[in-house]
Amino acid sequence: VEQPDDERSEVAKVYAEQRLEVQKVILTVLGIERGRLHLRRMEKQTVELLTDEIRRIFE
Amino acid sequence: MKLTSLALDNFRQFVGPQRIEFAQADGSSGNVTLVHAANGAGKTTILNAFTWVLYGTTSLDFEQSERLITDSVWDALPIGQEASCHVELHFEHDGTKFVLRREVLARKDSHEQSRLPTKVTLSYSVDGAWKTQDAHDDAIEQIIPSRLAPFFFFNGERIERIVHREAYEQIQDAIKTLLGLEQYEQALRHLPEVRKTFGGEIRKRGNNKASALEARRERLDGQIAKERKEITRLEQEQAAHQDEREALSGLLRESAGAAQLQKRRDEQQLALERADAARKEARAKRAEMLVLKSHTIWLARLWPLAAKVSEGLHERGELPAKLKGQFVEELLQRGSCICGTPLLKDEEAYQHVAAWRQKAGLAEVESAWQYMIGRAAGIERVAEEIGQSLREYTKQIAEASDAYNQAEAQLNQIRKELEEIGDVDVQVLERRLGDVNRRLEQLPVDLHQANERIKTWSIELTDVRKDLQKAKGDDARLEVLVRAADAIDDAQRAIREMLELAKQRVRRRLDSKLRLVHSTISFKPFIPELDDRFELNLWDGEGSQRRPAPKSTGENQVLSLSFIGALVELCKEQAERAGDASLLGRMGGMYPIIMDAAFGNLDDTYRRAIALALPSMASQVVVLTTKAQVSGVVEASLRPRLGAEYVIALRTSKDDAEAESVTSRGKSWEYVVPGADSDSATLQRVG
Repeated sequence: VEQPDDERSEVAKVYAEQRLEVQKVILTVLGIERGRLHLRRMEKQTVELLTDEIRRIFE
Repeated sequence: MKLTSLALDNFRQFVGPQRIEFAQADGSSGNVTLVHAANGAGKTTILNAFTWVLYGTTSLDFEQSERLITDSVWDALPIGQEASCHVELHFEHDGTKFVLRREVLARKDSHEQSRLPTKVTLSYSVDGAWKTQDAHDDAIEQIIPSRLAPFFFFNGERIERIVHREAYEQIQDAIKTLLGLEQYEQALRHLPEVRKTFGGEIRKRGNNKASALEARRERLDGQIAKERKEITRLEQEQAAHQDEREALSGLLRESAGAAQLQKRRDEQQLALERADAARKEARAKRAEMLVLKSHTIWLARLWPLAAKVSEGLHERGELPAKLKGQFVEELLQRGSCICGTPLLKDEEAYQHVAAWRQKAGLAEVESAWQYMIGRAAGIERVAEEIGQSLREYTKQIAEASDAYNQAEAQLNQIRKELEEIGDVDVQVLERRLGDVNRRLEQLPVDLHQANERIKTWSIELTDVRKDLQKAKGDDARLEVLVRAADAIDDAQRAIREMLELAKQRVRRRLDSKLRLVHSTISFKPFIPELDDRFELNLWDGEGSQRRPAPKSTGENQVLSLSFIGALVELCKEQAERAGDASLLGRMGGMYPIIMDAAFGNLDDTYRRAIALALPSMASQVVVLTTKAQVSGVVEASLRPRLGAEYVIALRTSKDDAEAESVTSRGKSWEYVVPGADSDSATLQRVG
């Protein structure tokens, strides 16, 4: 029987395998997307926000 | 989510204000609300009142869905006047009381009701004061996601659609919602757009080489995305064709002219599948033995030759050697022989002793040789046994191939006979079945090729990315852009992998729960499975001997209900889970089940099994049913778990309808009342 937290640890493992920069991108993107799930119709603004935030990570 | 009550006002056949207070899951009474209603009295209307008030949607069997205001009210309304109807759902969620109201206010311009705009209000109570929630859609999505709703509000007679392969996407969506994985899907939709922006900047900023490489990368990305879509389409087509094949076979089984031949075909198909499985098993075993043990056969053949060489060495006195190699090495290192002669490099004495190195080495050779003689004793016998096993597997493969070919020949013969049968309908079905089967043979090939193309392009893409890293030169700005673009590519790949892993993990959790729930409902020894393509299967037997269980309507309903029971359980578990939500969100909760036509045309055994299982499947259960469906075993099984009971009284304008009543707790209640001026329905609480 699968343990409830299995998928959580599996996902965390994939995350941990990424380079630091990639980890930063993943957390930033998922955080923004989670916060904007109720703004699904505002796709363009979400893409712009993601672009700006990713740019900020690298600059 | 805890349901409190549902209020209807002039909604469809429910004229005037009507209300259902739901049985509560607080342990003081049963958690089941039972609503008795004749066909056409309003069971489906109540089911749709839930989905309409929550999401503004109704089911396909909710005919003329634009006619929401009670016909008699609308008909009596003068042109130019206004009328309204509404549904109001009272519920609690996470300790907060909510009232959700959806209403239609319409001005009559003609006798027809057209689709009218609705007004929705979601109110909630804070310390006794009522407030209005602005983004009601989002709030409802958080409380009871629309993707999960089809599993909680359903028609029992149509529930078996969950078993059909075409529903697997809906199941996947439900799982993603449950796990809070929608943010992953959104990310995978948006990141390619973000990547395009960075790609555009690289092309503008970069030298010719960097620009060309970025353009090539974009092309490859596009090709891969297109191919992924094509794979999804092919998988959907495969699922639909598999369903169609089952349906066509079912029709042929029922057809008088073809039933006998179809029965033979089912038998031969089973024989073919078994022969195929046996052949695959024997091939796998033979391959494994060849890989792991076949060298023994060659060794056994070499052995007599090697033994002869060894004997020759002994006869010539070359074995055993008299000196150990280590002893010679020590003399050379010490720089003096046992006779006292100094051993200095480049001198004859040294060379003479050093020449013994090779001969001394033979002592170790012999030691190893003796060891091998001990180990090799009986190698010929072992080789013979291996050879025998290999011959046995080959024989099994040949026998299975014969059985396969015979079954295939029989199937071809049956197909020919069915195509030439006198009955035109059978011919049409058979021809279609032939087409479907041919497509089903081709689809795995197409899928394999599509996957191979993705593999090839992915390798090419990796190379392009490496080249792009090199091509950026010493331009700092370009370096930042390439790094960001590279990280976005990797983030997309990781998010896709995380999504797939989480989805499959939770599928396995759901599969475990499904087996458990099914074993408590079904009285047959079949084993359900939610496979890795999210399809619901039912098996007879286990392991390689298992075969698809015969799916009767009853079995399909039990399987579907078991899935819903498992899903409700998983939702509950998800809501109780704690942990870091930065990577995986948290959804889930306690959800009620609202089931229309719960017991359909099932026989008593299945009806009893479902009636016994339903109350424990969810915190609250609302069962909408006719008195015929619920009488007898169902009523006896549900009665101890009833917390509320209603009868819908149908007033019909049909004069020839027969008056009917329902008896509950020793009292008689109106069920069908003929001779009314217009059709309408009213709710009566009877227990």
